[in-house]
Amino acid sequence: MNTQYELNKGLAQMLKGGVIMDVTTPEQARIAEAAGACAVMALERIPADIRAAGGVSRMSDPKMIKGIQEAVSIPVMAKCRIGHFAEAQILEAIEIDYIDESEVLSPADDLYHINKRDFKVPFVCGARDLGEALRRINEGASMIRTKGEPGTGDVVQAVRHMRKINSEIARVASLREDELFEAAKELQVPYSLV
Amino acid sequence: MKIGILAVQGAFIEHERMLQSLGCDCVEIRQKSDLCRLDGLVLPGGESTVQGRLLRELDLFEPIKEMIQNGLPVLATCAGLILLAEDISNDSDRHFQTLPVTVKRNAYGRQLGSFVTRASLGRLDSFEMVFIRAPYIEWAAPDVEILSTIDEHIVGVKYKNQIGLAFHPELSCDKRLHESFVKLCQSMGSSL
Repeated sequence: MNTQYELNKGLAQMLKGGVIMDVTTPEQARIAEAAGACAVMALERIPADIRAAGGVSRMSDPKMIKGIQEAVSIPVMAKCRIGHFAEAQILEAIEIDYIDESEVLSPADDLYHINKRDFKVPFVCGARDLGEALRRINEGASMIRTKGEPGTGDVVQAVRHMRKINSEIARVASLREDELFEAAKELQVPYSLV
Repeated sequence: MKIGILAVQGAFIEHERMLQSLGCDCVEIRQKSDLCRLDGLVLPGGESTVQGRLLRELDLFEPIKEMIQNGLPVLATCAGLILLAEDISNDSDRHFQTLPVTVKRNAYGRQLGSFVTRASLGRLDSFEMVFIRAPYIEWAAPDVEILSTIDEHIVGVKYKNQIGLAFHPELSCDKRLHESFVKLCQSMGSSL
């Protein structure tokens, strides 16, 4: 792939071993930075409140995100709805450091994700298994995450999905080349990625 | 050859793989007891705010600073360079302050300002340099050897036992810089 994609994966590598904290104001962002967060996720409401409020949840107000970008020196991330490329374009225009195409917000498209290859900024996407992870990577995601039940503090799903993805990676890595064609079909991903 | 790699946060595994491929033993430094009998030390990329805080909380800060001052060879990349810098023009925090340079954090802007280029690095020509939300050096003391300059900004320096780079040699395939660091470790001699 291209240089920008390598740079975007590089930023993900720099974040390893760090904590990304959800913040809703510049003041909270400063507290997170001082407490040792390696990046902040700018949100209008934290996931618990989004869930509690119900209704449609959208990308955060760009003005609020910009306030947070000015408040801290660490990378600032923000969420956009699944498939909502216009929200992603706005986030790219304000030079966000990472876009989370997030299932916490209301999906804008129930079939397709954003074509992330059209963007220069990096994307992080959620995945529950290796097939999903590779499909997101094929669409241009630079980082993959798993996720607990939003807003509950229950991380068991995140752990379950991470274990599943790791064991699937181990299985695929052990396959012979002729078996990989079948694995690609099963995972519904391009052969080049497996 | 035993090289310690600061492993509190960031891209330490990339340095470790590269040094292991050159035949070095690597130790991941997470606590004070990891700091024995090192021939060299790597301060990797990551977030300098996070690493600076963890170094102090884990009581690693003073012992590492002392080892650097006593001549332990150090390779510092990106956030590592910020940790070594005597002065930071756009941050109130200071860390080891063993390298007499002034750095500017996030000097090329946000992630959209990240880039890859090729330039000479000391005696290494056409070296691939990966800059990710990188700093650059605004000022260096006269006795600091300048290894590389890009668009009139200093991005690589050597000062006694310390090599400071604004970019990430561990993210490209070129092993020449790590090879010269290993040579530096060998020439500095006995374990500290």
